[in-house]
Amino acid sequence: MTDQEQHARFRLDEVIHAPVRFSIVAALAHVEEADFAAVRDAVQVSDSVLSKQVTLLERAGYVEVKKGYVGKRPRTWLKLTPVGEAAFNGHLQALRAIAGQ
Amino acid sequence: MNTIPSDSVDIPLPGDVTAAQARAALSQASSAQLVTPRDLRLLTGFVAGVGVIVGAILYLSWATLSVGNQGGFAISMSLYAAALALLLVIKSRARAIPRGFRRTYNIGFAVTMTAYCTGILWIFGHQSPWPSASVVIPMSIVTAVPCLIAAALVHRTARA
Repeated sequence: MTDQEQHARFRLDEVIHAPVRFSIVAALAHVEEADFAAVRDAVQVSDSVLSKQVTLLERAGYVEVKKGYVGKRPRTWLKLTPVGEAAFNGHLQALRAIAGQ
Repeated sequence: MNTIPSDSVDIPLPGDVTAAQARAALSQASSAQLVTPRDLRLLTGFVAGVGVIVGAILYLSWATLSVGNQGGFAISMSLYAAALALLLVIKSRARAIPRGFRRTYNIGFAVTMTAYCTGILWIFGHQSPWPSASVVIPMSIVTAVPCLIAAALVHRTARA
């Protein structure tokens, strides 16, 4: 085991690393913001699972949740924060370092 | 029975990630796509539509007021407001906003509105005589073009 391999593992983000949260963050990384239902359909989880994972990401400061209305219909929008984007990019760099070994 | 997968079992600790798992995760990250073709149609339609209606209202303002048709001008402005409201409804139906959309739209809209304001000031500063349609129509087209270009850029960037 080399020093480089150890360093890459240490750089993996524990919040983002979980599969569903990783999928959520990966999806949000490509958009400015997205509707809750769109993220749910893309990640293929239930409303409750997505809500729970988004709450964890929001507490970590990685995702911003915005609630509003379109007409009388409530809408929830999700957006990756700059902190979340930096954490995701750092996580990807660590994965690339691991994948390249 | 609810068979939606949970996030609570067999999750490798960060230190347990293999190279193959890392490559799979990277592949998933690069292929993640929230913006659908429908979202793209709605958003590009919105941006293009804004350009078209601003260009149109420049022309209609000249077409009505140059012949003293105040009623026609009022109807034109009402139609413009209704068209804008419809475009905002169309935009609100998009479920994901691609990266760069807001910046591209804001720049296109700002240039379109600058052209509109310039056109309005020039047209109404030259009322004796009023400029002809051969001047106003190209001005209206020039007014619409920045938003049309922005719409094309939104479409191309999101599909890239």
